[in-house]
Amino acid sequence: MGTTKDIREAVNAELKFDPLVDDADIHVVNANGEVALNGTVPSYPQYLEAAAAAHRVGGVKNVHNHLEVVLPDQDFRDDAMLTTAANEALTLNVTVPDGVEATAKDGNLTLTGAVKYGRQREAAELAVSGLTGVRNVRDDIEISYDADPADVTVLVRNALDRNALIADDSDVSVDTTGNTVTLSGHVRTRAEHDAVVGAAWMAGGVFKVRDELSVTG
Amino acid sequence: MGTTKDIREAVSAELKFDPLVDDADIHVVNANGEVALNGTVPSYPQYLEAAAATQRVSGVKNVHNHLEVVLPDQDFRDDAMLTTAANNALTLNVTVPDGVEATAEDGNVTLTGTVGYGQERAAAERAVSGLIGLRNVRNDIEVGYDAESPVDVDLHVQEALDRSALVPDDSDVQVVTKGGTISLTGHVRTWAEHDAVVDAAWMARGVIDVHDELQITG
Repeated sequence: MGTTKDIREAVNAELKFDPLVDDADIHVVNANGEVALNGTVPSYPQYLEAAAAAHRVGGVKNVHNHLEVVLPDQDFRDDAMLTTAANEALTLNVTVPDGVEATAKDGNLTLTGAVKYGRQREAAELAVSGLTGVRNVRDDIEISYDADPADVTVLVRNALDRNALIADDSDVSVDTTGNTVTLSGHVRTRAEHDAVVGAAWMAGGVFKVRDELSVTG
Repeated sequence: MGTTKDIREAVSAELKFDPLVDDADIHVVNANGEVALNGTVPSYPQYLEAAAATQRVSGVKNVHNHLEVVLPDQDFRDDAMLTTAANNALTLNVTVPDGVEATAEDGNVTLTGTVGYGQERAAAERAVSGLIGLRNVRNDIEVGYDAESPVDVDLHVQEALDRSALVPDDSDVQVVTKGGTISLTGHVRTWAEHDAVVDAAWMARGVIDVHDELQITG
């Protein structure tokens, strides 16, 4: 969709348009809808938003985010300060369960612990990713929950049937082995892709989602 | 699309499926795709997520979120504690500009200040909305910016819609700007398309308000 033919130009325009991204040091490369972002941004939220902006553009199939976060001097936080800030953010967050912990090293945060659902893992990432001084987040939180794989497949399948974004004739198939859900088939847009993956992560007992969906664009 | 005929049943199923929502005290009412959520949830993120879950369901045109946040005893925070926690969260957030402040009263947090973009306003709201003890957020942050000429704002938003993967080429969505306020009219098929259009409008420099008159055809 979209009327823009040149994908690289459209991604550049979208990065420029997005007020949460400073695009001065971002270089965009496009090869048939496989878009790579190279260069630097001054914060981790900008790293995330740049990829989100590229995903919004019609014709983009995959985004390879090679951006590096280079913090401005005034945004540096030493390991102890950032560790404290991150753990406080986790403790004060009502969605993040007890037992999730953060450790900072040179601006890189590592999250550890165990939660029941993938969505809680995501909430922990969201709780810390906006902190000043974060260069990257590594999420090593484990998901501990036992569910019957057959039940998981049915739950996810039903969620896809309910979803407004997924067409009735969708060929997306859901297959659960152990605690891994494998998604395959075709989706038209990145939003549809995200809706399918989001539904898979919501089911209890899912440790891993293997995403083999192809975005037809 | 979707194969479920009974919207109320599908919304109830989606709320049950969503692990971030405790649906025990939520009652769903549906009248031709106008869905009302009544009852209580134990946190503000659940209040938001319940509405988001409902919007995901095929056939839902509008969500009227009448849920009330009733905090469990252990989640109560007094005004001073919550005010401090909220202001700390704002200060530590790299996306929220200086000068945004929070005040808590009975679990209701009010945000004030001035920012340059609608997206910074949204970032401030996100920075505090997960805090334990929060019942609701009132966002009184103003967007102040020296607007370019309204023609340019129209054009920039229209170009963003043209680039969007979610907005079809034959979209009849119209963007009209008057003094920093964008009015959006026309039809969209899904909530995702609706959100893509509204977000694009908020991204433009100089936009201080967005009037959303879009219709969801479902």
